[in-house]
Parts: sequence; C-alpha cells; structure tokens
Amino acid sequence: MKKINILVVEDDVSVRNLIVTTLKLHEYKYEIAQTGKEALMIVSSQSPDVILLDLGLPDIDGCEVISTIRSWSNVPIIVVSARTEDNDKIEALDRGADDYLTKPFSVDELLARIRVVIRRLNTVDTSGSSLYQNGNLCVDFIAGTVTMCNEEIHLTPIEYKLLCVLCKNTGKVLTHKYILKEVWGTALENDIASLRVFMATLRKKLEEKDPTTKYIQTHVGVGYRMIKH
Amino acid sequence: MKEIVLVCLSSSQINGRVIQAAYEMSKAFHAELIGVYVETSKKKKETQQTQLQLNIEYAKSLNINVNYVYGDDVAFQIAQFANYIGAQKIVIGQSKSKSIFIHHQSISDQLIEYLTDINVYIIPDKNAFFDKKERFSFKGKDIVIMLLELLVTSCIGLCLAQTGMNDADIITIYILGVLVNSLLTSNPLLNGIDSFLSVIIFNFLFTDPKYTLFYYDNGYVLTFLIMFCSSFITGTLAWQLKSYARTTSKIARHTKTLLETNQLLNRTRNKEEILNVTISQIKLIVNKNIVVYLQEDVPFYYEKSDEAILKKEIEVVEWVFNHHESAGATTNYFEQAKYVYFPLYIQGRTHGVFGICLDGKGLEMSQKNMILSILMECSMALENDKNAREKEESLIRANNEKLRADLLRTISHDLRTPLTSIIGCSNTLIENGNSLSEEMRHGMLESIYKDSLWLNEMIENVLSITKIEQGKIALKKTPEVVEEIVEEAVHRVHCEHHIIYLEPSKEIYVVKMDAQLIIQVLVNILNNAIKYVPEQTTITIQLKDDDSYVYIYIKDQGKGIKDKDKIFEMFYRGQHEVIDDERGLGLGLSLCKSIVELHKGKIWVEDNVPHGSVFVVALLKDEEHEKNKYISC
Repeated sequence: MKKINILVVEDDVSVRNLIVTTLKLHEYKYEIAQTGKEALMIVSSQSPDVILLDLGLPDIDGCEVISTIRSWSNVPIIVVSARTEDNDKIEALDRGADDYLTKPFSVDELLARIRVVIRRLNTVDTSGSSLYQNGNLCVDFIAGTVTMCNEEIHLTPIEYKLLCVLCKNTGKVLTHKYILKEVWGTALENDIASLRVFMATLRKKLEEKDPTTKYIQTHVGVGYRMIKH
Repeated sequence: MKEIVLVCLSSSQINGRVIQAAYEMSKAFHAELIGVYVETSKKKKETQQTQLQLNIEYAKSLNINVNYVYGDDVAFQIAQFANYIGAQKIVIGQSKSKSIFIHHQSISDQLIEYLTDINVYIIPDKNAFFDKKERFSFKGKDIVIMLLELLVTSCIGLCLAQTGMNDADIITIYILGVLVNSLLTSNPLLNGIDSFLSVIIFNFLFTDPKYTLFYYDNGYVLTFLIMFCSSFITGTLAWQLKSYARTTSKIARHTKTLLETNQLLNRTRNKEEILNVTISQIKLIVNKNIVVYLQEDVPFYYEKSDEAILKKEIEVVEWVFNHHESAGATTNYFEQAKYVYFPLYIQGRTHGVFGICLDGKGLEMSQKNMILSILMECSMALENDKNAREKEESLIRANNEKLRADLLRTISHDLRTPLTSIIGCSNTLIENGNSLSEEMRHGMLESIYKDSLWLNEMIENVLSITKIEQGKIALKKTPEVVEEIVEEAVHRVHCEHHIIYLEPSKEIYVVKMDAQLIIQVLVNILNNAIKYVPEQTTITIQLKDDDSYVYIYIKDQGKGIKDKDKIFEMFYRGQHEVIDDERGLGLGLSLCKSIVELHKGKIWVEDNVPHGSVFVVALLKDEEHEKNKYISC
C-alpha cells in the first residue's frame, strides 16, 4: 500500500514540529508549507492525500486557501485553529473543509482525525449506489428504508432526509447552515432549533437499536457528522 | 445655600422700577434673582403687550432668569412658584384696585395672605392696571337666563296672587328668583340689575295701581328698598359662595391630578416610563395629539396622522430646545404652528420638548396650568432619573474595576504557578535529561503535561470572563439540546479516576443559551467534583424539567459541602483537605454563577443522599421554541 502523503500548513515552529514528529512516528509521508502561497504550490504540484491547514497564516487567510483548493481539488482538508470563535470553524467548513481541530489538541485526537478522512478516501465512491452501509446501519435510498442490525427503523420524512444528507457526507462535519439548506431549503436562524430537535430524535432512534455505537456526532455550535465505522 | 429673591414681572409701566429694586436687593443680599411672570387668560392690549415685552427684556438684560407660569389667580400662582423654588423674598409692584360693588384685594395683599414665611416687598404703583371691562361685560346667555327667571318668577307670583297670597310671600318668591339667578349666572353686576328689575316688576304687577310704575301706599318705598337690598345681598353672597366653591374645587382637582401624577412618576423606573405616565396624564386633561422629543430630530412619541405637520414644525422644536421657553400656537413665538411646545426644562438642562396639538383652539387656563405643573413634575422625574442612572453607572463601574483587579491578581498568581513548574521541569530535562533516571524523567514530563492541561482550563475561564464583562451583547444565544451540551462538557473534562454517568433522558430539552459558556459552567463543576471527590466513585448527571426551567443535576459521592452559600463567591476555597494542589479554583464557581445568572437561570448546591453534594443548574426554558416544536413536528 502506498504511503499516505500529508501536507502540513503551519507557520508556528513548535506546533509544526509536534505535528511532523507525530506523523513521522506513525509512518506517514509529509510535506511542509509555511505560507498559504507555498501550500497552494505544493497542492498543485504534489497533490497530497490530506491537508492539515492552520487558519492563521502570515500571507493569505486560511479560508481563502480552502476556497482556492476547492476550485480544482477534492482533497480532504482538516483545519487546525486556535480556539477563538465558532464562526471561524463554520466558515472554513462552509467553504469546503472536511473537519476541524482546535488548539490545543492532543496527539491522539490529531491521529484519529487523520484516520477518519483516510478511511473515507479508501471507501469506494457510493454516490451512485442505491445502498448505503455503515457499521450496522443500512439505508436503501430507492426503497427509502432504514435498517439497523437488520431491524427496520421508522423515521419521519424530515428525519429520513436528514439521515440521507449525513450519509452522503459521511466523515465530513456538516454545518447547521449546510444541513438546513439541504433539508429545508432555507438557512433561517429560527429553523436551527427545529434542526436540533429533529437531529436529537434521529440520534435517539439510531442509538436505541444499537446503543454501543455512535453514528451521529454533535459538534456544539458548529454542526453534525456521520462517523464512518 | 444662596438666598433666592423672586421678582414678579407685569405689564405695568413701573415694573422696571420693581425689577431695578429687586436687582439691587439681590446684589445686597448676594442672592440669586429669579423672575416670574403670570400669564392670565385675559386679553392684553397692544400697549400692554409691548410694555410687558420691554419689561421682560429689561429683566433678561440684568441676567434674570425669567419663568412663566399660567393661571388666572395671579397671587396663588406666584405663591406656588415661590414655594416651589424656595424663594425667601418676593418683590412685587402694588396694584391699586378699585371696585365699586365688592371688596377686591390687590394681588400683593392676597400674596401676603398666601405666604406666611416669605418676605414680600411691595413697590407702590399708582398706575397699575386693573381691568374693569372684563368684570362688567355681560354674556348674552346670562341676560337670557335673567329675563327667563324674571318671567317665571312673575308667573308664579301672579298665580299665587290669584290664590290670595299676600305681598310678603310674593316678595320672597322674587328674592328666591334672584338667588337662583345668581347661582346660574356669573356676573355680580347682573345680580344688581336683576334685583332692581325684580323690584320694578313687583311694583308694576302687584302694587296698586296695578300695571303701572306708581304706587299709592308710601309704605311701599320701604318695602321696595328692603326687597332690593335683601335680594341683592342674598344674590351677591350666593355668587361669592359659588365662585369660591368653584375655585376650591378647581384647586382640589389640580392638586389631586398633580398628586396622582407624582405618585405614578415615583413608581417609574426609566425615562420611557416617565414619559408614558406624563403622556397619559396629560391625555386625561386634554384629549389631543401629543408629541414628545428627547432629541431635536426624532420624536420619542407622536401620532402617525400628524407626521407631516411635525416635520414642518421641527424648527419650532429646535427653538424651544435652545431657548427653553414655550413656543408655537397661542404663544408669542411661532404663533402659526399647529402645536404648542413646552420645554421639559429644569436646572439649566432641557430634557426634551413636549408638544400638544391645538388645531387652532386654545387651552383653558386651568388646563394649561395643570399641564405645566405636570410637565414640571416630569422634568424633575427625568432629572432624578438621570442622576440616579449616573450614580448607578459609576457604582457599577467601580465594582467592575474592583472585580477586574481581584481577577487579574488571582489569574496572574494561578497562571504563574503552573508556568514555573513547566519552565523548570522542561529546562531540567533539556540540560540534565541524560543524568536523570527514567522514572524521574517520566515524573517531570507528567507534571509538565498536567500543568499544561491546567493552564488550558484557566484560559477557558479567562475567556469566559471577558465575554461576561462585555455583557449581554457578547452572548451568542442559540437554541441547544441540553443533553448534547452535557455530553460535550463531559467530553472536555479530563477524567481518569472517576466515572461520569449521564442518565439518558426521554425528553429532548431545547434551551436558548451561549453553548460555550454553559459548557464552561458544567466543565467547572465537573472539574471541581473530580478534584474534591474520592477516586473511583461515580458522578451522575441527570436532566429534569418543570414548567419554566430545565434542571441539570450533577451528583457526587464526596463529603458534601458545608458553606453552601459561600462557594459561589469569588476567590472562596472550600474547607476541604486539598488533595493534590494548592491552586485555587475559587474563580470557577463564581464564574459559573455569573454565567448562569446572565442566562436568567439559577445555580445552587444541595446535599446528596446518603452523602456528597448535588450541584443544580436551572436554565430558563425557551417558551417560544416549545411552541414551535409542536408545530413543526
């Protein structure tokens, strides 16, 4: 199997050293970029498999970098940011980042996030398929049925729509705004409350049948993610 | 305190002398000089108007602050104003009054009666104007009433004469008629005429020879005279009594309204409430459109229908703001305006402008008077409100300053301790790492790790504090599912030796909150529990609710807490034997309290059974959303 190549975009030496050491220890290949421009050059020339991107770069704003990369590439991007405001994370996610990590983070956390996006990379593209399988969860898009551990789960139309959106973006953190737009077609602040309620009931229904596994992960203030099992 | 001398301005020619005298007096006493002019409902002649203007201008040239009050009872108004501003001396020109029929006191005389403890200085004035015309002008209505009364009395008299009643009874009927007439009409001269006519008619109808103005019996001369006198005196007395009663009731009503306004204003808490009370009170007196300006351009309150008029009259409002005198309809300035504008002026400060739409009609003197008194109360309330607010603000500022200072002291101490350990340990490892045993190296690394975690926790708290300091504006409230928030908090706590169990709840509670801050509250409580509760015990979290709150119970199996009220105070540290460190988390719980209170929630501690304590965080339910929830489901 070919070694995964990870691009680390980080201007702070200590944090970069920490990340690089960790990656080396776990036998990943890596590239280093200290500025946004450098990062864009490496992305276009080396096409890395995963990008770890710090939002606070000296030359270009991290969010701009994401937009630029997304204009031609679908490479998974994990945003690394100092914990300030949720808004920064949301903007990065809305622009197409896959996941985010807040400083200070533990090494385990970093590795776990990398594994999540890599797993997604390795799965066969299922966007054309009518059947979705994740752990014990199975969704038949044509029949419109959801089963967990071979037992059917009864969902309301909106819950089903929500689940579909999550399934189609497995492994990716979806912002509230994105989900609202996909399911309700609106992005009104008022609807966020209903989104919370529907998501909570959906989670409860899934966990009732399979209490040991967590499928839907809540990112408070940001959004939700379907975890790949 | 400076003495206050009040000088009464008038349209009299010698008023200049009065002002001059008052000015010299105030200089001699080093007193403050205030001018007052009482505007009455009587129409003034052109010459008087100009004279008055001259007098006022003269007063202003001497730097006298001229105030206007309104009312027909000039003495009463002056007395009230003097009491209001706390004047010790009043200077007034004397006006001589000449009245033929009834004794009429001069204003200065009345004033002396009203004021017992204020010195009144009278400057004699021979030419003082006394308006007789007013008193002796008749109203057509009164004359009709009088004629009717005479007709009715005569008819009754004739009827009674048919039944053989004697003259004495008929005379009594006429006296009664005059009495009734004087109660119905409002002119003492008319009363005299009525008495006289009664005598003539009696003569004409009932004395022999009947239907002539002659009489045979000379004894009738005396009868006529007595009849005239008695009817005139009774009538006049009745009239006086009536007018007295009217004045009293007017004053009573005035006082009552003012008292009521005062009470209502006392209950107000802010500018808006003060103005609303004032508006409603004035609407009770005159039911007309009202406009209130607090700043010059934008009305605080106005009627939509009058928007166009108000736009046109903005110039008047500006003038009132700058000159703090009333202007607009029925005044000397901007007479063509639809509204009359009064300044809300007190102690050198105009708080606003109050306008009343008159639509070309004038205000009754009593109404105007009442309105001005209410506006005076309103200005006073606004001034008090402003002062109170300023005081409150400075108090809060002082409190915040103290809090900030305490906070910085604690934080810098709390940050330095772990930093010392981190710097020391890492330095040792870099310089002498090789000579240390594996075990020692591991111990040092562990303490670096622990202290870093601690620092991170501190930084979260400091961030929350700055958020709180910025107040409600900085709060980012969104509807959140409580269970998810609790889960996130549990996730953020570094818990190795305890079990945290979140009891699953059947219902989904949605509460509007700043998620990061509430998570911070729960993290602080959980960290606190982890720190003080024996290892390998379970910390249980339960969710419950009632009609208005969602409750988060965090139950531990520690020793319980003695000072249940004190633990939420800033910088308080429990009486526990400190397990692993001497660092205070005194900040943590007080921060929790501030955050929860900012969310209009509650936080407290109870005893757990059989032992331990329960921290309860109560968050106010989002009623609006509860409704939405059922609709959208």
